[in-house]
Amino acid sequence: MAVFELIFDFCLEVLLILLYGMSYGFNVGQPTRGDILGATGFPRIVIVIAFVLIAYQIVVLLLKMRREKKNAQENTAADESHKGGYLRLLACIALLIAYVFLMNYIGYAFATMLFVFAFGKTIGYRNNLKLLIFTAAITIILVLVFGTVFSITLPRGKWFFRELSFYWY
Amino acid sequence: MDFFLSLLSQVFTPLNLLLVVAGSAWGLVAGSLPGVSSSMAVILLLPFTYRLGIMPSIVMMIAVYVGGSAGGSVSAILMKTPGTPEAVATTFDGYPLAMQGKSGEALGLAITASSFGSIFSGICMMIFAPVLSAAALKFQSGEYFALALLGLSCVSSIGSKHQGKAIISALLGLLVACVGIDPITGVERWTFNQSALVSGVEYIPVIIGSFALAELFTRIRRFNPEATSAEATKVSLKLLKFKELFKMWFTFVRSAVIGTVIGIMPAAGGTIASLVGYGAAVKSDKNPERFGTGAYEGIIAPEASNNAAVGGSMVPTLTLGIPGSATSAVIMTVLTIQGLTPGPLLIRNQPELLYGIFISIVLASLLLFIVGRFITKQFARVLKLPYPLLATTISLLGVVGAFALRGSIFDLKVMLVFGVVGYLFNLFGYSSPAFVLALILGKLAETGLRQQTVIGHGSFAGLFTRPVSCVIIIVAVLVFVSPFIKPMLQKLKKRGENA
Repeated sequence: MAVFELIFDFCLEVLLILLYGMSYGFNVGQPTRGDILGATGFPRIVIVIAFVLIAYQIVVLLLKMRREKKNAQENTAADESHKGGYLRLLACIALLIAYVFLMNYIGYAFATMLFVFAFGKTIGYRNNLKLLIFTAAITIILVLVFGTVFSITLPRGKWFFRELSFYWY
Repeated sequence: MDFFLSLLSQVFTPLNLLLVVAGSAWGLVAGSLPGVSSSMAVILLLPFTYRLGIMPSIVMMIAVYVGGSAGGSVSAILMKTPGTPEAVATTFDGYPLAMQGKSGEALGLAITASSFGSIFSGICMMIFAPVLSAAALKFQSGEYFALALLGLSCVSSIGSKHQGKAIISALLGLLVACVGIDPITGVERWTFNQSALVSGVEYIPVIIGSFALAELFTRIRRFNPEATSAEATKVSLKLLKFKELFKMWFTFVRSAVIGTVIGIMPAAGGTIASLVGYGAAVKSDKNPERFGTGAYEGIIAPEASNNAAVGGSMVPTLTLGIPGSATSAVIMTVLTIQGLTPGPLLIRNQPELLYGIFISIVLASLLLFIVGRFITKQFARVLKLPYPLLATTISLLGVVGAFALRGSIFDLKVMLVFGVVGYLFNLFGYSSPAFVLALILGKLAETGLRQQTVIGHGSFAGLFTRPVSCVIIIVAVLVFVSPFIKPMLQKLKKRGENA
């Protein structure tokens, strides 16, 4: 896990360097009188402090890794047992991304129905009938509450899905 | 005396009482749904006010406002998804309590603290409204900066397990707050040619992502489908005994005072009030490490503060015509629809309206206590769902909550990105609460600081020559460094004893 944390910290450092570099591209123009920090001052100060603190964290982490090298074997065994959990997690994230993407094409209601069933199954819900009833019920409730009662313009999708959505919300 | 008796007879009519019950129930339900803010709940009732008279309209709107401010805590506690931005800080301790099987206590505390906060502010406003509104006008950018600093100062305690990482998280939150148009010069910063980023990163999708989705991801990874549904435990709303509540009286009062004062400041609102209230509770506690793990005071402080801000925010709205929050701006519209112009003349010509509003705040809060018990109990049933269905419900509410804000798919992408970021934060010991806290307060801090330097012709001295800002800054610095100094002092003390 420490290796992944190290990678995460390095990614943060790279991101900070990029953001700092990009701040030179801001179209600053004529400075406001008295505004000594300007549009770039505050974020640059924040970046520098964050960069130093993360660098310190990396050093601390490297020293810790060196100390705990002996336990590496145990950690690998523990990581193996979590493999299934990580796969399920990745599948769930992929489903969420697909849900957001699909909303634009098939509309909120249909995308929600597909998502609820697939998400429930992925996490491990076994009873298909109950899941189907839940899928229908939660979709109807959400569309009624948010689309009708609260008048939130939910995504309608494209093509005939769009026309169909006007009958719902 | 006659004035107050006639006022009471105007407020305590059967119609008004019915409207207060319905309004606070509606507010509570709307507030507990992510993406439906109390201002939206008030707006949706706007058509009803056309036919009602002035007092019934205002009474109903105030009841919705009070209910909405309290309602955000329900989903914050049960699902780690704050229903309203005001309830962000409630998730820090509310959700851990729910995870310990104490969701009943957590909900009970939230409703009690919310009721107390708004009753306190209602009574305070009845007594001090004119004086406080004059004082609020003296608040300038320096004080706003100091206030943001005070809110930020508790980051070193929120992630007390890894203080360094909590500070890094807060710094990253400050950076995200810088995205969008710079408020002083109008320069675009890190917008990547995305029009949705010009106005900055909306913090609701970030909060839903880094709190609700991140927690969801963590639990999905650990979830064992083979195990029987242990989640389906009985949930009942429990109120702590008066004795136990009385032990925390200072937290109640201090948070209510903080909320009332911050509520009075134009545009500060309940979100900042709850964060500052929470920060004050953390810092004044002997064991600040309890916070974030399910401390009762961690629920009382933000809830009492954000509901106390309701009364406070009505002061500038009514006395100066400057809305103290988004919801009070909508209520101001109701007054305008009724043919009234909020401002100093309103108070001079119709003082009964001002006091009527504060009495209705007290009334709505008392009824909230009763209505809230029933409604939160129904909401708490959601925890009885098997985890796969509960997780699906949470993700659906998160998605609709992030989308409802601006009707933007971009916000959903932001939510997903910060869901993953929040998950990684949890995994590696970084602090999502500190990150979100900084994101909310970042703009206020930067704008306040830079406006003060503009006023001071390039000098920061104004921050320290203004007594209020100077005192708040000193307190903020002390609060920030205390977790680092405390262990040092304890070590020195031990050394001294050993010697």
